[in-house]
Amino acid sequence: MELKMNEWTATPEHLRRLAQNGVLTSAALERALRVTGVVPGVVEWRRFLSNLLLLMGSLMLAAGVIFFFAYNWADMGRFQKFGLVQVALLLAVMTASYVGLDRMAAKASLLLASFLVGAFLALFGQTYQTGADAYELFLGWAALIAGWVLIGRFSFLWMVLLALLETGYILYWIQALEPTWLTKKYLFLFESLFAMNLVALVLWELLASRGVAWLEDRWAPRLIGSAAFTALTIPMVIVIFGDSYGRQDLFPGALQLLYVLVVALTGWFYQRAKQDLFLIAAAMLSVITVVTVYFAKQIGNNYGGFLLLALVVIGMASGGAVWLKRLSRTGEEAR
Amino acid sequence: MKRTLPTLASLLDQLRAEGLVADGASVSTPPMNASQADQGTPGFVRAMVAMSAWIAALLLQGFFYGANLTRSWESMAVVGAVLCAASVVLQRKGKHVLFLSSLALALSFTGQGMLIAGLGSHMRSATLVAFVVMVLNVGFLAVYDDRTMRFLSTLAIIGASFAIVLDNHIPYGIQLMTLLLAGGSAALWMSEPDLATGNLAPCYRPVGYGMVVGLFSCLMPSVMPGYAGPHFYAPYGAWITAGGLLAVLIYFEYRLLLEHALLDDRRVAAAVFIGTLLLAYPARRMPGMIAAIIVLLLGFRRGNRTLMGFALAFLFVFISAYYYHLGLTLMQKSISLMVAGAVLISLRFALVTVLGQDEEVSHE
Repeated sequence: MELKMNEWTATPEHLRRLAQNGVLTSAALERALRVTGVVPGVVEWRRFLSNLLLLMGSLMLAAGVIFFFAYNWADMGRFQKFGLVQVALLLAVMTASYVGLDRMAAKASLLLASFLVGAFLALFGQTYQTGADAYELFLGWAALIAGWVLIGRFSFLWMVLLALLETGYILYWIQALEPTWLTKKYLFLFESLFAMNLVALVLWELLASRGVAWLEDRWAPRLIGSAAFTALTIPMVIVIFGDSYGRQDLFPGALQLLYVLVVALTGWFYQRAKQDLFLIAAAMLSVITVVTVYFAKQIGNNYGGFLLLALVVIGMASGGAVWLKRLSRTGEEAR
Repeated sequence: MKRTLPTLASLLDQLRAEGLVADGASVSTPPMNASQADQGTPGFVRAMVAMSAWIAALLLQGFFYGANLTRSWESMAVVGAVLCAASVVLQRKGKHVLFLSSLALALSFTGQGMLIAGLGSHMRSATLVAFVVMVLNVGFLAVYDDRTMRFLSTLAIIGASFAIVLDNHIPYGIQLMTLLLAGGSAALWMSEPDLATGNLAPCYRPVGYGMVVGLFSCLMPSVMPGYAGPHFYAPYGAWITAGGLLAVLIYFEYRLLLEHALLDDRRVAAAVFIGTLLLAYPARRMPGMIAAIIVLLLGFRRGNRTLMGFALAFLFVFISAYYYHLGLTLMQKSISLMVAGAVLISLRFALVTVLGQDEEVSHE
């Protein structure tokens, strides 16, 4: 059933449309935006400034400490350097413990402590020249902060952990396994990165659906989902072009099957179970890319085919956009 | 906790009771123009369509190349101009059919590319080509009723101005452009309620986003090692930019304090202005950090998450790039960052103490 406009929710888009149509004056629009909580009042400003000062301060402090150790000051002994970073680490953790983990100050302190662990490991490598590969630093860093991430209940900290794990994993493949271009090992790097992101996404959505409040923010699952689709699209593109290099063995049917399954499940889950059009759009963009690459390869140097393919690309994108708009409207009516 | 938005009807009743809406006013659905029809489309869907149009434009250029229409500058320019004109007509005629408006976007990208490449290969002057880009995009801004195109046209105009400044070695031209963009962005977003009700309603948002991205783009050379070359930055260029941006930031903060009647509380005002000056200290060599703070505050003031997202992404870029800044040793950078960080955290605790504010519990 289509809703009449006056039954629509007062989103900023709808309010601006009313203003554009002359129903609201500029003062009425501003008041409406204030009433709906879009434009902040004094309380929201205080909270925002408080968090901004805390996060900016922590970020600058952490960056300052990292820069300090990167300078490798010769006049300072190694024990003084280790002492400095460990005292800073201790202070950050004690602050988190003292103020209580539910508070933003504690979360910022844990974030600062997590960055300081990286500085400590870098200092260790710089002082003792262990000859270890960079992937060991990142994986060790991730392992050492995992406990704080678990107790911190802070989505940003989880994203830092995931970024460290994935950076360490990529470096491990590059430095330890040295995959060569267009081999199964090379494809497996992307496929396993996809799997890592998929597991993270599924866990995130599962826990969020069980009412874990701090997991309700959508930016993190969207970022993880986009990373997962990027990691899955790259091997799909590689296998499409693989046989041009005489590598028919790179056409594992399992990958194509997995791809179709993931796209279908994404469409179903984010439409039916938890409405999030962003991730459906990410899946759609991936499909457009794969289909375009597939047809581009078939067309080869046939210039007429480029015209046809351009129309196909536009057709897919606009068809997808119409469908997403319809879903968006349906979701709004359901709310 | 997520807030529940009221319906338009109940909100209008409230505004009517407050005397802000006339008694006879009601929610109606007059015919939409193209930009209004586009308003319900989430930003990422528009981005997806724009990316697809860009891919299609590349394929179309391949087609025109294959059809031997790009062999001379005259044919490239003529075909490009025809495609630009065709895209405007198609956009106007087919504004309610997404396939046609996407095709129009792809044609305009292709047409502009061919026209500029054609004229560029003939003119052999970066300033003249930039001038053509500017004129072309001013035209698109005026007649092409589409948010994506207006955003890209704004960026193209800023990019062309940047090229003219560089090509002619205009002294302090980059600094002037940066400050104009910062001041212009602040003025535009602060005037949003007036713009949303006026004749510029269909275009102020894409232009505003374009100005913000253009502002950051103008500041990007400052993150590149060795940027202090004579073509880019004149002597003390970074200082002038940082000083100008700081003035814009302080004026904006003054307006905010005035708006919320907080200027009389000297402790709050002092905390805000001292915090700003401290942020500016490490940022004096990396003015992009101040610009990112301006946009972050603008985004929060307008409840605009897109602006806040741009600001945070560029803030991260500028802080990371500070590491590679050649004008300071790592020790100097480290000390300035640590001092500023420690004082910002102290200020935050002072602010909480002064205002007696309940600290936020993160999952609220």
